[in-house]
Amino acid sequence: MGESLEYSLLFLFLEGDDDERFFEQILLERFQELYTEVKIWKYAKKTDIQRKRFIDIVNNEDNWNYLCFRDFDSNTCITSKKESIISKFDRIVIENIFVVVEEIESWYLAGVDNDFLRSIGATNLMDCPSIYITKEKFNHIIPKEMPRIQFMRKILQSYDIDLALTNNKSLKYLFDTLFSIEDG
Amino acid sequence: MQIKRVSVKNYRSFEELDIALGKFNVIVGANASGKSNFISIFSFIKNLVEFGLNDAISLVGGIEYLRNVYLLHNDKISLEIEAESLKNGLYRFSPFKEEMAISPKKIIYKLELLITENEKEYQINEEEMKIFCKFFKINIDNEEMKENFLDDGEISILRTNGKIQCKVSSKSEVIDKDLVKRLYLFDDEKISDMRLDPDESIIRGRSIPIPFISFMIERILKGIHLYEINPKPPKEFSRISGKSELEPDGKNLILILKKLLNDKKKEEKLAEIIKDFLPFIEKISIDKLADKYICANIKEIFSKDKFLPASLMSDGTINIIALIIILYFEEKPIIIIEEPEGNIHPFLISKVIDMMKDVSHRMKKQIIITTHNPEIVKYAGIEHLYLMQRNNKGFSNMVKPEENKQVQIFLENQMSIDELFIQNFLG
Repeated sequence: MGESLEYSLLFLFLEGDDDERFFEQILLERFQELYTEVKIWKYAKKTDIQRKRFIDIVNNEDNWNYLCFRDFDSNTCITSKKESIISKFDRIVIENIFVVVEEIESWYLAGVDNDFLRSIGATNLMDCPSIYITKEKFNHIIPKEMPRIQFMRKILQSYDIDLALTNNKSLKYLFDTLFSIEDG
Repeated sequence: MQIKRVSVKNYRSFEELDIALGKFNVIVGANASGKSNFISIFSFIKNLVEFGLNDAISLVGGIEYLRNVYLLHNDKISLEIEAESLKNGLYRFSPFKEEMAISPKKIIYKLELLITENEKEYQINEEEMKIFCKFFKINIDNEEMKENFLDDGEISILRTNGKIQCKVSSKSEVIDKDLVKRLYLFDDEKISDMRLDPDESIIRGRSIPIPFISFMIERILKGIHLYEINPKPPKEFSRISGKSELEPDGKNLILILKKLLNDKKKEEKLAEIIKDFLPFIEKISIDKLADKYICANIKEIFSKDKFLPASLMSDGTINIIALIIILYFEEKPIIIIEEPEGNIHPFLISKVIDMMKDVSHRMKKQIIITTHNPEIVKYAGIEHLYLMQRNNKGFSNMVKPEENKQVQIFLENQMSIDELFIQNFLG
């Protein structure tokens, strides 16, 4: 994927700003090693027609590619989630879909441990593994006086990718599929 | 006159920039991408012309704020501006019996500053003015003036290390040495003996014995006008005395309105345009108050005879009135407006853009605006767009989305330009 020296462009289809923040800080550089240019396309507020049209444009161009990231959102299994994405995106290629389990907040928490979270004032830390963290549970642990953005940025600044790959299978699957683990 | 090209090196957030401009130019870009630094090139040149180099530098906070903070090894800052005349203006001069005239077609002004000791001192390292023009001989027969075309030519004034060199040349060498002398008003040798102070620009160099050339350049560059409207001051009482042209922030808007409303034709023209934007405004009046103050009042169609004070006018209404005045009533050849969309409803933006296109294309005024507004991007048209962005070294860079192949592909596939702008896909 994108290994030739000729120009290649990758679009990362992401849901929203929290995804964008995570990808820009943690993953973008790795994608940039595979592609000449990487751009983020946020699809959350797009209509089905706009999504379909965008995928058509990317599919029609040589050297343009895309990867679509979507939260698992407590679906029954990855396959059924991917099928629901296909129904929403139409003409999307299943190999280009990556499911974030549980939600992007899980990927944030996967890279830090509870000691770190306590050190930045996180409260209500539960014992459940970070992989099952939903948006609501994540919001619950943010210190009362701390803006959500600041909390997320603090996590990303101390992010341990090796720890994250141990803690979150969906993130590890992405790395196994696209990047060599040694690079991580 | 229209600015055709701007280039700078080691200037504020730019390492190097060389960009051609059109009649109507819309500059977009993320926050802190360098849009205002680009606009500051024009305010710096204008301040240089109006107040001199020391004040122009002082007005940006000192030489350390004029240079790029990441290029401290580079001790030179350069700016170059190229302007083209859209009218056939004649500048007459008659040092002797015979009258001559030149019609400037293109001017180039270049300034290179050298930062000297302790990073706070500076001097002009090199400065050049070039005028590409047509030469005419003026004959007056029976009080009727006739200009006879002589030749195309070029007048240049180069200053290196304070020493001045002047040169007049013509295409077919019709212009002889005598004309050169008449242009200079002095001999070549005397001019080459002249020296200027290290911080004295040739534009304002009154000691230069070719004053009409400096005057011409000064007049052209003084045509640049910058605006960033603040709608709050016009809501308050305004002094009856003040400038007769709109201030850059629009603070004397009420005074300007008073002047316009005193002229029946102008009042009618203003009222028609305002009504097209804001149909509920029936009349604007200016009231004199005690102690040399005035205030504006508006009458809406909903009220029989009640006028509302300016303090109740919306910010958007004030911005629209200010824009109308800038575009249609101020006689400025080069208009630069930062974020003109301020407080204006998106529904009205297409009209604002139509107005700007009308003024730039039909009335031959050049317009440069900066914006973050997707509606402006949509209605401006890709051919008028410039994208300012920072490269991976932090330097500002300006590109034309129209020339970007990715953008072309998206547009060919029915994605709209404002959609691409919002998605950050213009670069």
